[in-house]
Amino acid sequence: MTTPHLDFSDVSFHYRNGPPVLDAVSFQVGAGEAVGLFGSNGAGKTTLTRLAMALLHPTSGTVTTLGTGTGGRHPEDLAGRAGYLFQHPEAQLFARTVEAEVTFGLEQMGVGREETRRRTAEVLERVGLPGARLENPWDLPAPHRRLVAMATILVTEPSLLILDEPTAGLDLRSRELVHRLLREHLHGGGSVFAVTHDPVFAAETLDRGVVLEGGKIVHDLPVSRLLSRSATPGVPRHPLLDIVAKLELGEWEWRRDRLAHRLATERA
Amino acid sequence: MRGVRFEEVTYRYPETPDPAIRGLTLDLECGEISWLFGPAGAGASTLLALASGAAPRHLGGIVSGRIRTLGSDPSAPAALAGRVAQLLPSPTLQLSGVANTVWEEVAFTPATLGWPRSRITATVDRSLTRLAVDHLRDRHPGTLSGGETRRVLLAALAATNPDLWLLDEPALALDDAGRNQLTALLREEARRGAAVVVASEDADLLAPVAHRLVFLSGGRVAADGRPGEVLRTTACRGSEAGNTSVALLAESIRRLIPESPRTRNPLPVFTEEFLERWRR
Amino acid sequence: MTGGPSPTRVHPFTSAVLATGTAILSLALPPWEGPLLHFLVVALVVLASRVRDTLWHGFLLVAPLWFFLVLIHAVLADPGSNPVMFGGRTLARDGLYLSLTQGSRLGVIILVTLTWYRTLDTSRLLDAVAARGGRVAWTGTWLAIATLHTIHRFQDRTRAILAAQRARGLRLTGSPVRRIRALRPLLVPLLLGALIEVDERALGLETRGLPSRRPRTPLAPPAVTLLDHLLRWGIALAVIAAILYRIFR
Repeated sequence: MTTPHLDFSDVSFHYRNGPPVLDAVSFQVGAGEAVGLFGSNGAGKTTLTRLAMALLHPTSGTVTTLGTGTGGRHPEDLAGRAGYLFQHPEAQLFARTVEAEVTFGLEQMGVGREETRRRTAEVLERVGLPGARLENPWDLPAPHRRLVAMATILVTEPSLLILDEPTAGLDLRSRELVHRLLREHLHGGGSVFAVTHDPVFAAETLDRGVVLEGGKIVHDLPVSRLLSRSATPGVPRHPLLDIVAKLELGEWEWRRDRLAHRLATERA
Repeated sequence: MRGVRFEEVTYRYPETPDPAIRGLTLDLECGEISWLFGPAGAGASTLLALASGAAPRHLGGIVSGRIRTLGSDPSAPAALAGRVAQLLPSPTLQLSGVANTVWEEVAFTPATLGWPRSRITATVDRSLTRLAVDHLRDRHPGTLSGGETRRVLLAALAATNPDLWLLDEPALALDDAGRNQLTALLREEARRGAAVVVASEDADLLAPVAHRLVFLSGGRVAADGRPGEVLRTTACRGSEAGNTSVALLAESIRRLIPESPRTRNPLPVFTEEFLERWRR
Repeated sequence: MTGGPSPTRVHPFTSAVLATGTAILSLALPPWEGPLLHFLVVALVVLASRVRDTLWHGFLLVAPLWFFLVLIHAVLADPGSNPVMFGGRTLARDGLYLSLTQGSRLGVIILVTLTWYRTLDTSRLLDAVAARGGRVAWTGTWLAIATLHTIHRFQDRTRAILAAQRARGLRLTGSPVRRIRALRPLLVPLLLGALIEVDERALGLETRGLPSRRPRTPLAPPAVTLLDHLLRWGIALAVIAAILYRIFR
């Protein structure tokens, strides 16, 4: 059995002089797994992702990211092997062109010019923005800015992707792109850990869901089973819930293509 | 009363050759929830900015044509103070920065408008309950999560009983409870007679709630009508903007069994229509 | 800029009067023992208060000033006719007294300013101004507070950008050249973001009714209590007494 990419072991956390945010949280994300982090507003989800990236350190317990404990480590130690997508990626945009934004991470890693150019062109192609290479990121519409932020992380070819609300505000085309990018990443042996309120994203792209309520993990289940329990606080309600329930499709794959296939073959 | 009126409006962002809005004419009415929808860059957010006066006052750029917001020219903000509730995509910048508690934050605008104290107390308490943020009333606004901030701001905006709501992606980062409160708020405000205008790509949230869908494409109105009707037309179908999850499912099924009577036009857009077809 | 309930039960105008009065008192007290003693008293009061970490920030600002004052006036100056021996060095007596006086006065000014800022309850201050003054006074106070708030936001943004860039691999260690180059990905989003934010914030605040020209309703105007009167008159009398003492000594 390979080492998990992310391992929270009995992790508790509170900000200095603050109330407890996390209470003995334990879960894992293995290679090739896409795990979602769910919970009501204010439950502490963003805090948990920051612990995973060594932006914060646990008050007790251990966070092990890609095989090394985060204790005493800094986020730049993990950069390149782990990629973190912030909820508001605008906070990190600084270059005058999309290309310069993307090459930043590679330069920090010391990758050579030729290799950098090749990988940059390739990743911009993958996020569907090959023509935006020389554009100013601030001139792009908001969904495209988010795709640029994803490109800056994917270009370093990390093993673990930590994403905070990756589909917020994206239109259908961009969502489908994100889905494709993440599935390719998983197919290559990478892992995904994503905070999300988006049940469709969860159904289409994620395998497992972990629910955070009151500082504790209250559920750790495959996504299909989790979405069937939408009455539980923190679990988002999938828009096709009524259809799945009333047509008695059971605890089923919530992915649209599978549902379509089932309805087309069984009920035609 | 007209909520917002656009007459032959063309708008260019600064230093951008292509106009974001092209010769657009549109009336957004009071007592209705108008949903602005379209692919990225189609102009939904831009229309909100034009209605509030943010463009060109803050964003720069060049406007031609006539815009009237609640009967006034939006370039004069003083006339509209307190009458227009605007929710920006980054709500943290809308916090007053001088409130010690959420209660004070929600009370900020009514107090700034000079309302008497008794009226302020009544409206703030009511607003906190409507958005179910009463449990946060003594918290400092700086300690709230993104979703909580958004709900507190909605409460703050609701406290002034505005005549016009301009909301840009209001459901971002909201959990299900927050989304339900949001839709309840939108319905109540429209019933009260306010003009509610929402720009959002979230078709599942808005399609059941909106009275009217204005589908935008390339800065122009491509379709305009009841959400169900517009979503069923080919203008939306296959658009980058997307559709309701039900419509997308129906399309996926049609691709598999195009000849079946269950997949004939018009394709279902809402759950009830879908169930009607598939229950037999 | 405090979080949570107001740390003082004193009227906001009183704390402003106290801060100003204490600073003037320091200037009025006869050198060198007066200001020095006063400085120590003020430092002790801050230490005993709820905002005692202000003392540390104050120390960071005051210590270099003291160092240079003593260096210039006492150590490097001509010792003169009546030198002071200290640690094997000859110090100019007058220079030493001058540096103690100046240092103490600057120290008091810095401490009271920092303490006032830390204990400032912006909400209550605005209410107090709304209750007493007109719309113009309120808007002026509000703008001043908004400027202070921008500094706060700047700190928050710096932290956010630092986190974002470190997560992308930015290293702050290494050779001086490396460190200087590391500044660009930090400073550019910080400055760009700050400029954009000023704009967006102006818009955001418009959405909260600020362009309104009507007088503001105070939400919970602080009461002026006996304690406020005592403190205000107390400091005023102390200043007057010190000035009179200087004149008639």
